[in-house]
Amino acid sequence: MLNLADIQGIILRGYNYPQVRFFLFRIDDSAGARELCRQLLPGSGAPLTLTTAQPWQEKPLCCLTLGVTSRGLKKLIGEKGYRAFDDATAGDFFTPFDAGAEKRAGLVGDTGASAPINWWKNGGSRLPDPPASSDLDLLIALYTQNPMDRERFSEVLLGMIPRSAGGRPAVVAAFVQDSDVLANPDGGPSRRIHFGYADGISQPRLQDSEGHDVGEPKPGDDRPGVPVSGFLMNRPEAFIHPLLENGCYAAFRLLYQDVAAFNTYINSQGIDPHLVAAKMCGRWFNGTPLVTAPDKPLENPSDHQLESFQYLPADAGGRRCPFSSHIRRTNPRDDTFVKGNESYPAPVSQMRRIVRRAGPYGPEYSASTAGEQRGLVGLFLSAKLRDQFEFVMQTWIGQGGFRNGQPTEVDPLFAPDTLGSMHCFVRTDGALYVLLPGIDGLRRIAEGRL
Amino acid sequence: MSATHDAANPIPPEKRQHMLLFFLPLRNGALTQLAEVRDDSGSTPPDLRASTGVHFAMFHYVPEGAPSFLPVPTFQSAPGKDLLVALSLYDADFVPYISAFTSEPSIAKQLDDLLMVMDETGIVADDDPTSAVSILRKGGAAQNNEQFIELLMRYNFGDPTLSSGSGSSGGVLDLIPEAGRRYAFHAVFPGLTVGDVIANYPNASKLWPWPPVAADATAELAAR
Repeated sequence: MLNLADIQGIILRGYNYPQVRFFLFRIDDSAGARELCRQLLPGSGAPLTLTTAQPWQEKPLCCLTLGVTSRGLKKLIGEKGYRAFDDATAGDFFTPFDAGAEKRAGLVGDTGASAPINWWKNGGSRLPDPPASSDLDLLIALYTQNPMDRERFSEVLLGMIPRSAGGRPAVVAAFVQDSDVLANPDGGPSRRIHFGYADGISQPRLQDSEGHDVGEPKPGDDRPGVPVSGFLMNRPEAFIHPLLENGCYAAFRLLYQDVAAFNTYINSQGIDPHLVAAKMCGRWFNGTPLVTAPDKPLENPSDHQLESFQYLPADAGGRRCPFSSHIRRTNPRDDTFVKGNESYPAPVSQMRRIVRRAGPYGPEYSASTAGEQRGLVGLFLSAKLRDQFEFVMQTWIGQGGFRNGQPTEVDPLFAPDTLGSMHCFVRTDGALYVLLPGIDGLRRIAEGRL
Repeated sequence: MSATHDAANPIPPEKRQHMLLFFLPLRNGALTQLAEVRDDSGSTPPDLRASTGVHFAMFHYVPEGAPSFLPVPTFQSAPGKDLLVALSLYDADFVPYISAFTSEPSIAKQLDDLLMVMDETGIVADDDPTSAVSILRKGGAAQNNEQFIELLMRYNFGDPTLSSGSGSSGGVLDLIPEAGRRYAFHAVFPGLTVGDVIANYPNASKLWPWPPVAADATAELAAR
């Protein structure tokens, strides 16, 4: 039975709020930071608290997610506490988090222009001096229904930060990144990202979610479920310290998208640019999967049409949806010819899934805004960073040999520039590995109780 | 698939073959213990041939003080310990190769059984996260993949960076290792992976079925 009150809501459901603000904080005073964590506990009486996975009676004006880096956790629980945490946790649940995104950058293709030395220099920092390194401790994401609420609740959050006797804040915002949905022609919110593709499709369907709304399959959704253990750490299945109970890891990613280069490329291949873009992604711009509609996109495709499909046997040869297309690389579904997706008893791809909680940032691309920074920012969730996020990025997106017996190739949209033969359309401008603790885990952190 | 490889067109990393040669220190009498915990359930193990890329494997058990089988010294156990020698040729990088084993529960269980009979006394402290003792205490190889790989590399004479596609001999069988290398390494079919064979060789599923059986390939071969 899932303890929804102990789980941060973002793990089990996408909030789908049009405005998001990601605060990346540096902890300057550990005691004050612990006090901030205490205030953020649900039921603390503070004006803003973390949003749990409990069902909503009505959609709140604001939701809040908290993540902590290994550097931040050391500051919060001390070196001795951190060693105890390490000692009671299996390597797979500790090592990638402990190393952090900067040290693991090479594994996931963050090289060349995407290398950590270049991080935090581009992007939407609203502060005058971006951080000189990835020495960041806390991530707080604020989700609101309009820009005014984002400003209002940001002020509330910043006002909650404890200050020392000298007036110095315990935590300091070192990088702030807003995310805003792009608009449809009618002005309403769209699900597009800057390249033009509809996004947020086919998130993992969790097994055993026990009636929780977001985990239940929609009518006709016959995709295999993903075990909850892929996104929540729990004993005794996982050898973990109690601090990790009902927690999840996330890769925070700040990705620049080179829309001009992308548009140039798809318009210079001598065939319909929509088809070129579809072959690169595996979906038409409106989300219609190529494997079920190889010639043209469906009009107003249903969720079932968007999400429930397989690659075998209809597209065993990759003629509809190329083996290198982005969605086939990131989730090969039933294609057990893919290296690392053997069937025992079900294709392993379900164990590799990542929950994506990301959205666009920056202005819509146009001639007048062409030089401005834009891309995708958000959290990519998995219980085991190594087996899920890093595996997909390293083995399926960034390396050749994806499918047994086929020539080598890489993901044309997201592969790093040092590997692919095509232009690199996406650049990593910042990344962190954070723990999204369960509520009791955060309480332990706040109380310094391990 | 059939590309000709040379200096300008090297074999891509995921297609290269490598050798491993483990010398694992075991407790005295470990072979008996391993036999006792061997999986005799009769269940069919999953077909991981393409993911692991194992072309062949050899295991040789050396009890403490056992004499060489040859008229020259060969594999030697350390005093007070037995020794397990393992030799294999595998495709692509070492990490995904090993991870393909640790990700499969039934195989991870067998790897844990192996860890239980290892004897790292005098080699690494029990509280080192890469020790067999520590890995077992923290949930086994399935939950400590990187630590397990470090443990294996401690006893691997094979060099994961030395591959069938990285030599400079231009296909000539050279007995002398390149500078800085432990050994010279050659492959007859560099770039041909197990996955390629299974996927592309005509009637591969009949010639080499899974699970393996004592197949009579006479008819298949006669038809060629």
